[in-house]
Amino acid sequence: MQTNPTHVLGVLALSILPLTGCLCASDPGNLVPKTVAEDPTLPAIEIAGTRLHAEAFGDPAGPVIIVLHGGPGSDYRGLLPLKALADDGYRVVFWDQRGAGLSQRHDADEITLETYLEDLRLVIEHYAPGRPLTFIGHSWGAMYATVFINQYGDYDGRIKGAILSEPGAFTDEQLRGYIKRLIGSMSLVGEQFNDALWMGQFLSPADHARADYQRTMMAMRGTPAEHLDPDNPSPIWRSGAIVNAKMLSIAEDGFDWTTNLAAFTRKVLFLRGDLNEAATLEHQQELAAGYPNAEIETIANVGHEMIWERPEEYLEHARVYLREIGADQ
Amino acid sequence: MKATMKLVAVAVLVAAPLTAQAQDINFGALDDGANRVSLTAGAEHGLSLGAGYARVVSVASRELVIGGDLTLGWAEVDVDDFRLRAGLLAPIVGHGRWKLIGGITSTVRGTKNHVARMINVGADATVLAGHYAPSWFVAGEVGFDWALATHIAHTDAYRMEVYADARDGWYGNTGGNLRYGLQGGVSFGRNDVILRAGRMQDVDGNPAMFPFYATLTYGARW
Repeated sequence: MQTNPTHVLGVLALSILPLTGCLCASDPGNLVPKTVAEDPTLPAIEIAGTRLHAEAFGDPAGPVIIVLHGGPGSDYRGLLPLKALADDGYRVVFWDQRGAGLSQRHDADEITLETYLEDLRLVIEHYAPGRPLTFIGHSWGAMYATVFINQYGDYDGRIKGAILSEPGAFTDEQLRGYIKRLIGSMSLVGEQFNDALWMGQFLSPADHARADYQRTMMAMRGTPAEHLDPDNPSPIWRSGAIVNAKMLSIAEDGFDWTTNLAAFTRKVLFLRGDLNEAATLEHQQELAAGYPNAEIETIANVGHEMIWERPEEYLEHARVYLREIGADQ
Repeated sequence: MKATMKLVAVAVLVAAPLTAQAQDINFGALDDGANRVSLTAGAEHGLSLGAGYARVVSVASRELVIGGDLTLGWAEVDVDDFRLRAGLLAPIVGHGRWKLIGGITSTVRGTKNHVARMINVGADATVLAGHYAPSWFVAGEVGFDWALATHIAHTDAYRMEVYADARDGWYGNTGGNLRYGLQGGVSFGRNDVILRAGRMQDVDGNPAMFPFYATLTYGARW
């Protein structure tokens, strides 16, 4: 049998054909939404050399609530039911963290815990200069609030309290157990895991847009342990792959964000869903023990995305707590 | 979608007569049969199962192996995740049982997940260098798998939950993976058992999403 050169040419032509007029995976807005650095119409603030996707709702003079999203790297889209607190008179501040959601992207060397701490401090000063505030943090956002409190205490008396919804860990040992439960719930021979691996043949994470697209694909359905409702999925805009990887690598170096928590005597509310098998009651009790004054409330029949899936029950708990600590004053 | 499937069909028809995927073959045992079928199982971009056919042909007094294979992701028997390859493998230089072998492969592959359905046209280049005896062989393997162009059609779920304005269409030069590792095998009668294993990294030098590969192949010749 002799090889036929026309067949070789045919294959080459067929391969090159789709390249004409091809889209570029790296171009803004093709696979993932544009960030605030690419779309000036998005609501944004500029602090510390970065541009953050951010907006605030409610009376500008009202008591301030700073909302901290999860991930790391995710965004506040799934937390927007908390906007209802603006109707109660609060000033509710939503923002996507550095390199996350629709905020400006940065390379890994510009993502550190120190820059994150300073970003949060500057976001507070932007929206609540010299005024009291309360945190509502979800998942990683609850960890982020704790890093800040461990560093700054009650921030000269200005942090009145915090609602922490299923933080993953405050120490590296807690994080190992938490991740083990998350990953352990995924089947190594299952569709979800292998779909993510198979996609590695199609698209390389050569830049932020491609990496975020891959990361979003992996993050969209969560893990089985989190018990997300497939019929009511929590939406996201865009998942920041670099931030997610960098924060996990920081965690690998070891951390303990409980060293100064004893000084924070304000009441902290832990709000959890009872279906979550990674953030179990025992796990949340262990984390809550880091705070001298913490209480745990459980919402029945919901998993990790309780704010999106059960907004009314979540808001009810939040309103009671905010009144109790005087955050509504 | 019809246009995409037509493109896939044309690609297969054009490529099939000329080519072979035969990266796992004992070049020291080619005399024991010009035809070879193989079954492969392992982990390469996830768990996969494949079947292939290769034929030894002589071109200008040189033995070439041509053929193709079909691989499926076997997590829950997913026919949406497939890879169809056809290619050519040929000795470049050799000294006795030591051989340097080069190969090229054209690839069409597909996947469907909760973000999108994707069809990719790609190309793969492989270099093998090793000792090939009639009953066994061991060789080093270096290869580059280039994702030349990928058609992406986003799902309703992605548009509703993430990005309503995501653009469908052909995306050019979407990536690639470099692999390097070892392969070795034994040949007995007209049978081969071959193990390949190594590491993978993407085109930018980062570890691939699944940074290892390991496959086990059984081949029968006649």
